[in-house]
Amino acid sequence: MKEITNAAQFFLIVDFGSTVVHFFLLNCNSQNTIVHGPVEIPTRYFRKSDPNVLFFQGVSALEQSAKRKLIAKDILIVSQETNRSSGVQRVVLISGEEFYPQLSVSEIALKATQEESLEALFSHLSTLQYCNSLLDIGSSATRYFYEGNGQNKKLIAPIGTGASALYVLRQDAQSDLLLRWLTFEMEIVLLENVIANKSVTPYIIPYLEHDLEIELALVREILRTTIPADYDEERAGRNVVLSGAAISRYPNPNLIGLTYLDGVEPEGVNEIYIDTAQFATSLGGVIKRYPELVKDVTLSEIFPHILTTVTVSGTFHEGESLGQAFINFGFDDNQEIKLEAGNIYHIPSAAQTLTLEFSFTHNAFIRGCPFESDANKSVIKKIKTGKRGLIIDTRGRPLPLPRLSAEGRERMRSWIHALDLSNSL
Amino acid sequence: MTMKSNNFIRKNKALERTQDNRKSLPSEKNVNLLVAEKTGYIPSVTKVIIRKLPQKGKIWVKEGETVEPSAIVGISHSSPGFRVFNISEILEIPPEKIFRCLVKSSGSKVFKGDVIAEDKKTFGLISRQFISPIDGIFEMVDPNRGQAMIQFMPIPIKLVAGVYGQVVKIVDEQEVHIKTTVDLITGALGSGIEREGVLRIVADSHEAIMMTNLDRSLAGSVIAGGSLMNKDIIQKAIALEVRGIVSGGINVRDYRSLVSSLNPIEDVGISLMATEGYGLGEIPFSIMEVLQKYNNRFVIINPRDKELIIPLMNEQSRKKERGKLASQLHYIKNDVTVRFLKSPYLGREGKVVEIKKDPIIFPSGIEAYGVVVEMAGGTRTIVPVRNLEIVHHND
Repeated sequence: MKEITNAAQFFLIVDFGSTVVHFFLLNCNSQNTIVHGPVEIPTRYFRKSDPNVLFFQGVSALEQSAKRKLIAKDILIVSQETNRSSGVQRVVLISGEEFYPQLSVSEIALKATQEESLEALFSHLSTLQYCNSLLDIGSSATRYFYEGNGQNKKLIAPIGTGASALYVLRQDAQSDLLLRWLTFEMEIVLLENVIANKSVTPYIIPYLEHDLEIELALVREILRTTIPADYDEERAGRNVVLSGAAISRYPNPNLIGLTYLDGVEPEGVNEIYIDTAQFATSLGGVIKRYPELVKDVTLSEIFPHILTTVTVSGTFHEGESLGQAFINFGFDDNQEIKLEAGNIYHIPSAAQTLTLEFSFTHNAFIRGCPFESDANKSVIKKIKTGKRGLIIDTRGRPLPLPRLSAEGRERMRSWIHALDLSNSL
Repeated sequence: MTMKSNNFIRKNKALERTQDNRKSLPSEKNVNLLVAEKTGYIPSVTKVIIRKLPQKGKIWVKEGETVEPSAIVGISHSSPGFRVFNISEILEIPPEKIFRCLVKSSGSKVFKGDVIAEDKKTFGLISRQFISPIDGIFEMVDPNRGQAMIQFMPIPIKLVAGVYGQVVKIVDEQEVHIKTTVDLITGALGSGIEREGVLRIVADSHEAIMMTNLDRSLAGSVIAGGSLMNKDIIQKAIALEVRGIVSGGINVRDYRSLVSSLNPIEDVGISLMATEGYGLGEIPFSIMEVLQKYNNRFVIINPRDKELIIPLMNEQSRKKERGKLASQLHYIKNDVTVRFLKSPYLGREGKVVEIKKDPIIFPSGIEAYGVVVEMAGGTRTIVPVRNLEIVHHND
């Protein structure tokens, strides 16, 4: 942890999500931004015990991990003085109104709802041109905040990966759709029950490999069924921040990128940023209440740029040759990739600016990237890669979905294998 | 970057983090080791039970009064419908002449066979009569057209207290709120409206309810048992006028075929409660024991709150009342009995034999606090603390 400057502001943020309560300590100063946490406690625990006791246990755990004294004589230390070596300057509570009367900090806390917090965050991010869309795939709802036709838009779909996961199963056909995203065989009745039980016990941790695959299959179908009609209207790609429990806790961000590609089917060049600490709502809550105090927050540490994706569009069939991609990393030699329709290519070039040159031999193109000349159908584009590099997607649009068969499962495996090179950030 | 080097970095990071935690938090105070108590059975809870007439009527008790379960606390009359007749056509007379032919006045009680109107012709030698085909209340509806109506005789509906307790509120000549002590069995999911009946155990906890378990003698009862209630069982129960089913689980596919919206407040003519969740789920032994104990007793199934309410008798109630519920959270310890909340062991129980002091990386790659649980037969498995609930604790 770095030195605390005189101007440091410490925020205790408690986000009472519908499934899990997150405790964060945000240290904002003129030089950097440090986020401590999250400390997580399932929300239902607050209904099974004294919420105030549990609240202070959460703060205490945060105190220990941040190595900063936050509680003295069972009282939360809150002071407006910024040069203190203990306590916080502000307390922000997000949602969880049912618990406020029982919390002994409610008098001094400022409150915000999850929706207004995320809206404030997106407004902040888009003003800074950090991104032009924010997707929060939560436990009880999926929230889209995005720019379109020069306006900030939002859509809240009441389907999520936890408390409202059951509603994904409203139609028989939906279960088949979910099943096709899995690399292993599973009885459809069993899959339905596993997903339905997520709405009964949304706080449980998917600890087996298959659990995570099911979770991402669910995310894909949620995205496919809830995506706003005008989300990809301009079809030239987006810079998107992805948030939500299923996203943040997923250990392999490459597969989050694949899930986004499968669920949203974006075209053009897209930059994917991930809310790795599940801090989006909390930061939004602070921005909503104290915009001037967090204007210098280092966004790249909170929402790191993980991947850049380039989608090759056009009319082609699987296996057809589409031409070549030449990647210039700034050295003399270019890396050449022969592009074949129906594939995913991962270039693990961490956080670099590189020049991509596509030379298409077929009816292929990249949305938003005009050809250098119609004669040779070449595209040259400077691209900033994410921490996990670059993905070139030649599977086509609309995406040919994997079938419910051994062949379909093999196809899913090959897509995952193309990206599943390593398991950490 | 190779997989090996990345994993190495990850593990080191995890180690750093866990060392921090170990220094700072004694394990018994680590919030990550908190586990909720399984609340499948909550004995002696003070609860206000709302007894409700189907429509406004007369309430026979007063606020503050103590009532016995068999006490009738109110009455209302339901009208099961009416029939319309055209007396003018039946008697073959113009509508304006009907009033002089009426034998019964509008609003009077009539019984099957009573003469309601009579028209005598030819000095009384020929007569036409309108005879009531049912018991009911006669009313003229439209004298200009000669139409009359007989409302079926209202059926008195007596509201029984059902519980021993004190009347705390009366609402709108329709509801009686009785404060009482009950035992509660809580479930994972419920569907339908509140219903009541006599509890009848129809199957053991480990087997699915079979068609042969159901017969006409179960009409009006709340049946319980079994690890699964399927669509056919539910439909047969509806046909037999069973009021509710409490079972271990239900396949979401069967549930959807009954309630297409999957909205639990939608009623399909029967109230359902699953103690474990969706899919096959054995009712825990501790709950089955309670159900067995209260077999043939009056119960209320409240799917909205996912609970089966077992009102206690006068004596039991006095003996057992204990007021406020204690905290239902505990720090996990060795030797406590826990229950799995997730497949592949959903609903199974085991004993904690080892608590991992640091977060561990599970096969999915997710890092979380875990414990080793030993199940019957000696099988051991390591699971995240959050995926468990405590069945028996030693606090």
